[in-house]
Amino acid sequence: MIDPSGWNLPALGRAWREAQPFPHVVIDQVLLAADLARVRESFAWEPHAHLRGELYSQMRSAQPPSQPLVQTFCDGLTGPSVRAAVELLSGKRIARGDGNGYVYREGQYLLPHSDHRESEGRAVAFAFYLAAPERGGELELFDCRTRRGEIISTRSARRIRPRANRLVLFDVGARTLHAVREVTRGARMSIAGWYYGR
Amino acid sequence: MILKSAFTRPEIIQALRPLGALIPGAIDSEQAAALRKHRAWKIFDLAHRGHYAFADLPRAPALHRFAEEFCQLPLSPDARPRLFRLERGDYSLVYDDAQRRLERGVELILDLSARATGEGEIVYTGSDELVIPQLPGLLSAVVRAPATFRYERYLPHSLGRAVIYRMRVTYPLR
Repeated sequence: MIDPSGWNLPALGRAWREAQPFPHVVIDQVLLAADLARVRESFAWEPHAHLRGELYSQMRSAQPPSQPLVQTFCDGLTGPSVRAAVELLSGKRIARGDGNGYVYREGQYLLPHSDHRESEGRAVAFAFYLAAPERGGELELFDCRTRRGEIISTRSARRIRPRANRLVLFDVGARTLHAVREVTRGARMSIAGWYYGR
Repeated sequence: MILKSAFTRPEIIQALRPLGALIPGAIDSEQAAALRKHRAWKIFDLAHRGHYAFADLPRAPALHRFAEEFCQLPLSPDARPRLFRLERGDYSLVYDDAQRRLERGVELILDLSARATGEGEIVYTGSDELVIPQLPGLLSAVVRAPATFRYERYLPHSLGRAVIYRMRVTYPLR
């Protein structure tokens, strides 16, 4: 279903390296329109639990997702051909990947944080958007200034709209702060997760 | 013995002891309104820690006396109360602007807001979880242990123009 052979990897690699405030790329029109419609239809039947914590209020699916077509898409997104492409464009070794379905409804959010966990080996984060909200839900990337390893100031540097059929890949590191801005109208549907270095 | 034998064990009694208490109607609305008029606000803005306004107040011996009496614990009187103002989009995470983490002590939080918003809960986590609703005049007294963490929920757009005001003071164990 997902075929990275048409991706311009040298150009994506340059975009990754030059991106600010930290390495990331945005790839649009990832699926054929008919495939996107099929995955979206299947996603509508995927059970999502409402989770609320210090950083988030969101709806999250099980891992792996239970709907066969969502699972097939997720397997493709984390499968060998996409992993090889992510490895080439990011310059990071990618051994495996996994993802969940996420829905953000009005009033839901994910506050600024880093995905870095020393023990887990997350190398690159991904988010593929199935449906965009009418307002809000942007992926927000922060620029951080540090002193002696400590973040001493942060600034919102880029907001990426969650357009349907868009894949965003971004670097995972201790200072790659990002957030999902509160959805203020509509719903944001995505499949998101990580590629791991080991 | 009427209760099960487990209730004689200190570690069980310790685990059952409530994390804190909620006391409604602890401040007059006029007094709360006067505190809301404070002018010397500073903004704390570190995306991964929180976003809110705060202002330090002079020491309040009456609050210290109350905390000691209420919790029956010897507490250092050195802490100064701090005012907080939170609006739509604000939040305060576990690692907020605190320079040092309190190991053991008592934390008082007094809600000075003009109205209840249905948002902005304070959540204490650790061995237990205590969720404090946002209610004008509500005083919470929480006995903090090293494993106790606190955060204040993100305030969504449904908050509108409402503003949440709080006063917080944390007295370490002597």
